[in-house]
Amino acid sequence: MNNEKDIKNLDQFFKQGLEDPVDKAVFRDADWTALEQMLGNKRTGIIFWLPYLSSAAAILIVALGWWMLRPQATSHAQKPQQQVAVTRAQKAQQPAVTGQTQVPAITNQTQQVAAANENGKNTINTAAVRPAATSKFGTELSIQPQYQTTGPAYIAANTGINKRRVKGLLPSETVNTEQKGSAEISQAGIAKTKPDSYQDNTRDNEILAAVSEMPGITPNTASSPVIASINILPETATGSSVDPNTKAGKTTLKKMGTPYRPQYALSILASQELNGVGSLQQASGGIDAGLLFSAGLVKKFTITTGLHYSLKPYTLPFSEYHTTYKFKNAPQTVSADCRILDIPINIDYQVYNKSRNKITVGTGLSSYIMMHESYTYDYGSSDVLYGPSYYAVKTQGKYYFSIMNLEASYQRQVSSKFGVSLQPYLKIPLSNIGYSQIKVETFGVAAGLNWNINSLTKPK
Amino acid sequence: MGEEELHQLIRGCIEQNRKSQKMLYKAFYGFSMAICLRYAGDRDEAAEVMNQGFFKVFTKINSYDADRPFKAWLGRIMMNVSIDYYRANLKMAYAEDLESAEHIYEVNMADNNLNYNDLLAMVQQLPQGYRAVFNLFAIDGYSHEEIAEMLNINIGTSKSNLFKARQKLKQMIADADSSANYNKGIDFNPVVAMNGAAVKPRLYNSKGIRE
Repeated sequence: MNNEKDIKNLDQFFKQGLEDPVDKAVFRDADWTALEQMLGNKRTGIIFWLPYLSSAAAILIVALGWWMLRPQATSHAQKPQQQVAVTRAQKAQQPAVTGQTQVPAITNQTQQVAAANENGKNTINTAAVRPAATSKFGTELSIQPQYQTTGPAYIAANTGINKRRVKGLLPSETVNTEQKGSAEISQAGIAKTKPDSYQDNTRDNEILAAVSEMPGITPNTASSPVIASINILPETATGSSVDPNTKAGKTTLKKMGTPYRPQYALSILASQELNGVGSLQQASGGIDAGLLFSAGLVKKFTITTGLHYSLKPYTLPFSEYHTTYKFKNAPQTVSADCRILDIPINIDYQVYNKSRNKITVGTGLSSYIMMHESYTYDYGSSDVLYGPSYYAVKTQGKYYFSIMNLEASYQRQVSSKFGVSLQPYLKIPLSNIGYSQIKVETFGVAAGLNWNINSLTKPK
Repeated sequence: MGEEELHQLIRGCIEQNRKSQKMLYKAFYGFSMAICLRYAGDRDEAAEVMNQGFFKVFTKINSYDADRPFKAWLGRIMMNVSIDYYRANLKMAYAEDLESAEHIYEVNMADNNLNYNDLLAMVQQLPQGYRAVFNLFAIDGYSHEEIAEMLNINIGTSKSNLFKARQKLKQMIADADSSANYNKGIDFNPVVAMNGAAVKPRLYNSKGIRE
């Protein structure tokens, strides 16, 4: 008895002494600084800004893609070829120039252009350049123009003496050399020219043909390997003697073009995501893992489908929670735990593809199948709970094509078979989802490993 | 702090206004710290737990019902984060040797002169498991059933911990009493200094005979 009283006294003694301290702890600025950091990190941290950053990144990616695709789609492809052709021609000529003191015959044929149309048949405007190994000096460059009376002829390469000509494409200048080694060598660099008697004397030589920006440039080749691509006039505009060459050129072109080959790939993705109702300001973290198959539709478009399994916890105010159950005491917040099978169908557009790096943007629709759906009710500061605290939905909800996907993806090819990718994405419900009929937005960043199935097969 | 001023601060906190948050933090710093100090081992630990509590307050301020007293809501949150902290550190909670708590101490509560800091220091010296149960039962008024549920322990464990906490506190109070008595000079052994100059020297020969 005495002991019980003693115990009560002890409890009471401590309760009175500690419950309402007279000299309370003095405020420390360091404590507030620590809390401020906690608050600051949550609000201004990378997670808070991720949706905005990713949106900006997506816009940037699209802008970059447009900028890269917009300009000189043709000139980009042709200029390097011209340079290669000229360089190669120069290299072929260099021994001739250094080995011989005489200058190869070069003729400025501006005035003879009109007369160059032989028999009215050959109307090819060409600037094919050939190192003429069969010339008199064995090293002379043979340039085989066949002129069109209606336009200026362009020279793609020169002997290396005239630097301007080496750079090529000098309007209103044509260079001609004598055929079959009978070129006249002039110190002044002017030779008697016979464009009408031109014949192909370099068939066995390597042809370095440069593509002209002017239409109608024809290489006069039959069996020589073509290094650069060539533009060809329609057959009707060419003489019969040119036809075989033209056909050869066409064949070469076909071989040089890269035919589109559908790409198939398997990807494994794992991602960390944020789920929020209405906005991602007070989002809860979730995780997602997926297996995807993608196939190239046309050159820059890819269709992707597969299966994701997502754990999507989120919290919402009770006011946004929809249910037929009548709560006697309304909870303050509801925490949901959803496990979802996500079946997406997305179309991705490739905006950048250089070297081993590829950037795509895409959109599509997802279907959700609820594997688990439960809700926990938080009554806040109430001392006693007067209502249910947990409810698990028994039926398996299915929501077909109810979620819109927006995604951007950066992929880096590690080898011919494998690549790694980083993919920010946003999932926006188009209709109410789940038992509580709400729209849960999801933002996530997925890291993935891609396996290029095409690597199993050889290109045709 | 007046009601209107408090509601104004709360409104500011709802708008995530940092100035309002700081003012509210300062206003309830002492109150919150007092709760956390009871559950924590020291001031730094208490500050850490309290900041967790205020973080919850500021991030869930929307769920505060303005019709209820704010202090009660805040106190509840502080207690909850303290218990969460205890749960997180559960492995350390029962490190105390049970044998040492078996002795019964008789103390007279009325006669001692212990202040808030003394009592707080005693509670903080308790092993974490004892401290949590003692706080919840003796000061916050929860039953053993509720404590068992809150701390995820058996009711028997809760009772046992409370008993041992009380014994330890009694021991501490008894120790404090004896220490206080010592300081008052009750059990005092005086030490007398001698003046050496006043003592006449006496010389002894080699045979030990005084000359």
